[in-house]
Amino acid sequence: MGDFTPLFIYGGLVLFVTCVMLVMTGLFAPFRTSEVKFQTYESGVQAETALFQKRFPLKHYLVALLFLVFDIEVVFLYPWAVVAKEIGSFAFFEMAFFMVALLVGFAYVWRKGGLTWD
Amino acid sequence: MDMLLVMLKIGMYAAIVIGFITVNALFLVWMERKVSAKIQLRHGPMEVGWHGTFQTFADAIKLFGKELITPVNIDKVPYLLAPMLAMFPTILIFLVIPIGENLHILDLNVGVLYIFAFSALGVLSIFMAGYGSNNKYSMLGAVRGVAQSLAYEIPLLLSILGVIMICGTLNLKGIVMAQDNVWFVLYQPLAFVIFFISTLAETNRAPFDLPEAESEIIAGFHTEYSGIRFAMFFLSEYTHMFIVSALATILFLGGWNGPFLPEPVWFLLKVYFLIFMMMWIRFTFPRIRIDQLMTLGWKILIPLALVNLLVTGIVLKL
Repeated sequence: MGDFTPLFIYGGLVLFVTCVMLVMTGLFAPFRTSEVKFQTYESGVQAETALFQKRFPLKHYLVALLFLVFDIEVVFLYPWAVVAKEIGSFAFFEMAFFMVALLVGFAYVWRKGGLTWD
Repeated sequence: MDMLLVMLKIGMYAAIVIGFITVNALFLVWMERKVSAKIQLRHGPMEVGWHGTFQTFADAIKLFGKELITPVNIDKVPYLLAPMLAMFPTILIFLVIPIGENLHILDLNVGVLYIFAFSALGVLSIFMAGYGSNNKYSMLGAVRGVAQSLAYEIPLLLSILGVIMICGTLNLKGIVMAQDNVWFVLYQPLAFVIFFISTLAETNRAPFDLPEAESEIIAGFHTEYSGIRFAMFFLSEYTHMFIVSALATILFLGGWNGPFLPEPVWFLLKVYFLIFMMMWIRFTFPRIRIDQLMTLGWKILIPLALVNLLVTGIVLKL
């Protein structure tokens, strides 16, 4: 832990501050109930009362999958970047090999139209 | 006794951070209104204080007095937690930003990773707000926000790898000290441009403000929020602007390095200049479509960032 103990303390403080803000607004703000006011906002027409459960196109799923792949790649790259200078050419070629393997997949997705949004 | 001192120190730092965040957000709102006014040949706020300086203070106080409307159809847990979660990372990130050689609260050796780890939480709060509101506009805004931040997180992370390779550390102070002579923007101009565009998208600023595109989906993910909960989203958005500009300053513009003026002044000057650029861009470019946004992220910025990485690797190896 050591280094990171302050984070928990400050995290608690953030919670405290947000709670204070909510309490303050509770003290100052008016509160009048009316049935219409608490309806879901819908530009002046009757809102759908059922939960919003519309489906979304597969594109979002594909993008999320691609993101995962690239994010893991970045996780590999960060420690490598810190020591790349010390290790020298071995580090460079090792990472270049890894990147080529990944870029083949990227090129495949691009070619198949996975990145085209329509 | 020791315990008391530590408590006092923590309390003081917390007061400084929270005070700075509040004043910064109020100043940025005022600045944005003034900049937009000047660009559109208007005056902007003029009534409260000198050139409307205290207009945003008045607005903030007004927000405390506004009724908190909690719709009946919401999903309670995500709806109520989202504004708090939006505040959470922005304040915690402030702890590690060094505005002078010895002016920081925490000095972590993984500073860069720490900042990205926490700023990635921002999109979670957007999604929770949109999902919890149970409103079609909020949900559309949330889904757009997620897709957008997934697309722009990667060029953002890839673009700064070049800087890290040059100086060989993730410590923010170490990175600034490596720029004593030459700012990294000269070594890595392409990376700076990619970083800047990606941060615009990460902070949901125009022309990438699709999650809250007010002319299409009301107010996007915060349609159902009012009063102080809305203020929390606003506060975190403007603090996020400061954070990404501070990060760009640290990574590319030499941090607090500069002649004559004291260190914090240089740092804040650079940060506010970058924020001014963000505002300028907002009032110059129209909002782009979601397909253009995804194309820019996946097909242009990511390959460019990889090329930049490759070139940096080759140059460092030679």
